[in-house]
Amino acid sequence: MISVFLETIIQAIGVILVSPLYSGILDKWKANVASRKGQSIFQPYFDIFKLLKKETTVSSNASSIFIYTPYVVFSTYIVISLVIPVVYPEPILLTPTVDFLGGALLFSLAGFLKIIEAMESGSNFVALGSARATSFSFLGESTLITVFFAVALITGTNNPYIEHEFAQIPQYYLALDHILATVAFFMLWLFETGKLPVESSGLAELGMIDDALIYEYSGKPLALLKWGGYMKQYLLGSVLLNVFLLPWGMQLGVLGAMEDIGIMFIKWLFLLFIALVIDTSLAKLRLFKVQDFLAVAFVLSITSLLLSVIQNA
Amino acid sequence: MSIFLSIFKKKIGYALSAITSIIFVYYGITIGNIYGYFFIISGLVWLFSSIFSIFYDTYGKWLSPLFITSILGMAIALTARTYIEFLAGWEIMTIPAYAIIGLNRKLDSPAFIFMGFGELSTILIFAGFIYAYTTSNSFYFTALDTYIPLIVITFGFMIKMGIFPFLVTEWLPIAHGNSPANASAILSATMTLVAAYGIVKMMLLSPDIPILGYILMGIGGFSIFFGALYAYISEHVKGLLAFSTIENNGAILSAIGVYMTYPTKTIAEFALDVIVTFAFAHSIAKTGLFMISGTVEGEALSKLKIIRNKLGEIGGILLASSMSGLLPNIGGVATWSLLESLFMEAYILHSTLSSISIITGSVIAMGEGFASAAMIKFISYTQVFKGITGKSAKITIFSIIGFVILILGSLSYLLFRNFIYGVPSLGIPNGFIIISEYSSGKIFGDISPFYVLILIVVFSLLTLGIFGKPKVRKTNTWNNGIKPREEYTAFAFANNIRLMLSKLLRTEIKGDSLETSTDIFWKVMYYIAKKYVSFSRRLARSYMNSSISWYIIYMILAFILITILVVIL
Amino acid sequence: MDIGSWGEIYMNWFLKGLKKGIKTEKFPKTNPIDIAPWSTELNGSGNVNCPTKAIDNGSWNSERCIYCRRCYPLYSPTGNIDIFKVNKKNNIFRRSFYVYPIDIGTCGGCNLELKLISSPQYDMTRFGIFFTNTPRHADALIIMGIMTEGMKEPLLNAYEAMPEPKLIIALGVCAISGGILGTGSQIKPDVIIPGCPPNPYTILKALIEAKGDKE
Repeated sequence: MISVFLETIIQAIGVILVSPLYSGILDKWKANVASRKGQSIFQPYFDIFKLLKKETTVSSNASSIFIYTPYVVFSTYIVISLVIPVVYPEPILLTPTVDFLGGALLFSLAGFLKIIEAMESGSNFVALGSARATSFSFLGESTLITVFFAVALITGTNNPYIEHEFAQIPQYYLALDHILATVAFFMLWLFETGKLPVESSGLAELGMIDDALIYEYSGKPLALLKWGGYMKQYLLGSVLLNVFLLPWGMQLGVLGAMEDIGIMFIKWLFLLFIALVIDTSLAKLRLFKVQDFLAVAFVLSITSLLLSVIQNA
Repeated sequence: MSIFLSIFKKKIGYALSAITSIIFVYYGITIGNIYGYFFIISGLVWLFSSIFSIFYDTYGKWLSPLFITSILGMAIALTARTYIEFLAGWEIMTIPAYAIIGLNRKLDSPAFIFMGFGELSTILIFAGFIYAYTTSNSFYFTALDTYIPLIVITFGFMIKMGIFPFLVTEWLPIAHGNSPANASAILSATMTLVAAYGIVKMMLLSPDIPILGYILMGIGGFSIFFGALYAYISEHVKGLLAFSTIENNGAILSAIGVYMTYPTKTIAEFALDVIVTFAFAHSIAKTGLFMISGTVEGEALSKLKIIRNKLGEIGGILLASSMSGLLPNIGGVATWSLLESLFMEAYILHSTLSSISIITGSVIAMGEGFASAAMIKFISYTQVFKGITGKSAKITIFSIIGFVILILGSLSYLLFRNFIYGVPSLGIPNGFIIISEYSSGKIFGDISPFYVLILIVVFSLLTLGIFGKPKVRKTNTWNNGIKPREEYTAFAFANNIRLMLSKLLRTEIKGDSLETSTDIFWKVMYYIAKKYVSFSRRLARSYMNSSISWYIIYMILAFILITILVVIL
Repeated sequence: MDIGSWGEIYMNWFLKGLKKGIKTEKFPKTNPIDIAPWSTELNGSGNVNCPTKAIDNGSWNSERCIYCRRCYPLYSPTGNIDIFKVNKKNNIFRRSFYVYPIDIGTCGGCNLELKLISSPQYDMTRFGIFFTNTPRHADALIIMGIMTEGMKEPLLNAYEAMPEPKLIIALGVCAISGGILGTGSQIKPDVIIPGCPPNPYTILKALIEAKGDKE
């Protein structure tokens, strides 16, 4: 009982504390490819700590819902971190709260709350960005749901831990439907975490999609939202790695849980390298082309679903 | 059934109907089988809308009696034991609704459209009942041998529920959108519920017919997608909600379809629970949302005057998140269970037929995305974006409904009685997990709404404790430094989809910047309707009549004649 | 995306970037590599007719000099880039300093020089300094240019929208004292960076000191 409890704590704390590091590593590598020395890999941590010390200015339109919903969003990400195999490969405390599909619905919940609380500010730029975010959310959410089901239909269950074990079998790993689902999920990951070619977080605010949702925030709520964004990137990417791309190598036991954080680190370096190459090679897509990008991901995941039931009778 | 009330004093009438609704709920709880749930739902909806009507009604003497008579009709239909009682209740329900819509704006066409389609559905139901009578030789609802009545009746009810492809003549949104908010609440929530109830009743009494199940699944799936899409781009406050009703009815229809295909016994039982959950989620949330639409002034989403209130905002957010299918509300449980049942069926069948369920499931996932988008747009522009702060009793009511929805999510375990589970070794005691099984013992997925709620609340408080409250200073909105002269309206909010899916929506640019969107189906049906009208106009020369409404009556007479002939032969 | 251009540009920037290597200077640990002389301290003696009254009895006022070179060769540049003044700094920005540049009426020169400190040679990001596009995320307001009528209100709005603690930085002589055309910014600055336009090295050093680092 105690060991399960410890593993739970290690997984939750691991996700919370380690997730900003990966964003920092990616930014540093991007700067290096751009011939600059770049910022420190711990820069996201420094940003968050500084923001926690600043005051919060809110627009006169907003009410206290604006200020307190970031806490709810952050806690939703913590709940998700308990149910997916992001650090530890066996179920831990409170894992059966939701299965994969429920996890996808929880991601949608976080997105929904973020958009509504952003609209609270009454700013036009925020409305602009929210309109864009909602108009792509239908493809994004549906791809997330169908990709999770693609794996579920092979293994016969929606339990993410069993799917994680199943993915280690070689002939399943190389099957066509698994490859298609992996590609679809990777494209979705690029979209959900706001990377190129879908979004560029630069200085031009008229091109922003996800950035608009944090545009009017400052101080502590901004720190929580940014941290939540890093956690979301880590959670989705870890699912990609642990269930689709590189499911091997996870250890058991309390000591194993701590080793797992390190093993995840190595796997993440691989994923970050791919993201780096894509980021520095492509330019941002025109806004309406983003729909094509997501539609391709969606169609791939549906194809993977169909293949898995038809050919595998 | 002493539901008849004194209808000449408005407020007393509403209060009495509220009391009798409570009696109805109690009756539903004591019945115990699946139909009891429908009674509970209807009773709750009527209770809330009656209380709301006490504060809302400023329309004149006619609204209150018609409202109550319509409720009376629905109650008769729900508790009917013979076909004739059911039909009587059905008609009593429809005619006052027709009157409400017609008298609301003194516009004729929405009311006529409503009546026309209502009568079409009545004809089909009537025909089905006649066939059932001939094969079972009784007027009472008993088990039947053939499935033909089921097919005919299902299509009849489907028209009433506003399902694709009939949805797009937009009779439902036009009709529901043109009536006052409390009437729209009972129309959307319970009238369509009576239709679903009818299908379920006939389905449980008829033999299995898998083909119809697949057709219904497909139709339901596409209704979800198109209903949600049109809800997102709609500019009319009540029209948006009416399209959302179509979408939810499509979901109920898909669940009915899953039941009809009957893959295994466990999945079929699960599907029945899905139907009930969806009915709960939709009806109660829709009532609340219509009340929100009743508290704002104006009908176009881009030009509303709203009153903001913190309680109202929280209630509105809870309602919207339930309609979007998000946890931990009951809407999330409903969406989860529907998708699980569809994919479980695909897994079980493992053949080309399962591609139908997969495609339906994917289309439903897209539809849910649009539904959340539509709800975000609705709530943002009616509650959140800008406005003056104020209090009002109406707001308190729908925020209560919002909390009811949240609590219902945690109570949804009661609806899934055979599917409760627990994993005590991992911290969740027995009785708190709903699982989806496809044959006894094999679990597909699980969910625990109560735990989700508790965990989110606990972690939020923990975060608040660790990080502390922020120091706040109020300033103006940052609009790049200049005073905001323009506003990002609701129309612009959905413009991305209008342009991206322009082939599907037939968006045109008129003049400088106006855009319109019409549906392809409407164009086709309009074309057919025009041809028919010109044909009948030519036929009219020989009938000396010149008013269209007579033709509807002629059609009805002809149909009744034909069915009687069939019966005799 | 059509296939032809895909084949051409695919991975081109990535490989080019790797080939080039890192080109950042080691300033301020080492000495600056190339300094434009006419943006540094002036020294000399004699009476000249300075258009902005920057030269007064042999002493040169950095806050008024627009480097028009009318005083050459009586006064000539020394190559000393430390001509900025930091009146107030804040230690919490040591590792993460977001600035919001606002142009209230420039000729464009200060904007160019400011943008240059994000280039690979100077690379402000290694100190944790970043640009941002909304004052709500910003720690410091960089004001450039003379005060124009139309920008009075946006400047005040931007100042109001920034959360405490914040710094005001006046970049360029126009923002400090009005240069040759107008008056300086209405808000009293905490950090003054003179020059017309200021040297990127000067700007970088001033920002480093404003955020609390001692180099």
